[in-house]
Amino acid sequence: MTEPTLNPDLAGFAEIDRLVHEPARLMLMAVLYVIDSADFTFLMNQTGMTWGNLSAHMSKLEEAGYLEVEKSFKAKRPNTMLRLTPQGRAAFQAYRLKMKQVLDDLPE
Amino acid sequence: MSNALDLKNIEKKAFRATHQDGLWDIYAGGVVLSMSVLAYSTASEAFPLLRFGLFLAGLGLSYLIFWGGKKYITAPRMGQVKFGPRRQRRKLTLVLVLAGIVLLQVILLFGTIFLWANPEWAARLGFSGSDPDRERLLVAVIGALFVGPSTALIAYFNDFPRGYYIAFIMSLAVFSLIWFGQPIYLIIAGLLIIIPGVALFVHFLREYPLPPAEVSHD
Repeated sequence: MTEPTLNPDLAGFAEIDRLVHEPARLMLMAVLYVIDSADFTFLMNQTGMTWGNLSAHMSKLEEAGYLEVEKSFKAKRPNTMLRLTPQGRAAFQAYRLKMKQVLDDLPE
Repeated sequence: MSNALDLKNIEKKAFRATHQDGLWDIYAGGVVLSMSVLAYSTASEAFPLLRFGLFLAGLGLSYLIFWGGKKYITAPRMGQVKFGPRRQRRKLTLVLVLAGIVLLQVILLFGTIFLWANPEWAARLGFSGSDPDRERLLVAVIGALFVGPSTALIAYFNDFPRGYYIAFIMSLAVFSLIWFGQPIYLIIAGLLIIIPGVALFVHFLREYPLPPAEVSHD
């Protein structure tokens, strides 16, 4: 039995970065892409995510090297600022271009 | 697709969210209300130092409410954010433009002092003191034209649409201060700015409750 071959017209979809493609992470990356950095509270307010959900997605992006976490203390309270790394910015930009390209290339 | 990922709009909304706590409005209204103390001084010359002291105290209190409100009430609810280089450039441009306006005001102030000290020059330039009402009207218009456009510029560079309303009310307030010399106009103007600010502040507190203490992200 031969393995099914990928339709060349759909090959573009296979190249999409799955890490960025997940809606919650995409939302998070879009917000971080347009600013310099923000803390958890600001990102929760902007994206409507819960603390746990945000934290889980942050960890995945951090593991991939897309996000850097800067921890400090402000008025004796822990303060975590999050920022996209240059690699994360490049990944988001590449994702945008790829999505635009594959969707534009689809026949009407 | 373009609607779903309008990055400029996402940035704009994130930036504008930082102004939705009403504290700017309360501060600007407080400044206008403080100016009403000065309006009394044109009606009566009693206790000028006390009135000026009260004016400065009003300014200080307004700033204290703004600073304390941001630091202890709204920032912990809204969270912290640092915007990108485009916003930093706009901030720098605003500082330069406002510095230019202040310089123009200083030149105008010294020019006025010079003309007061040299009436023959004032007469030569057509600013003779024959009609005090006309002079006061001129000063009132110039004062309003300085305050209104400066506040409108702050609104423009800070992407703060309510700032145009504040600019309009503030320029009317300055005009009233100089032309009518009656504190009631300033009190009305101050309240017209403060009341929407307080409403926004209450709305902000309802919309953004205090988040739980931050858990470490490991």
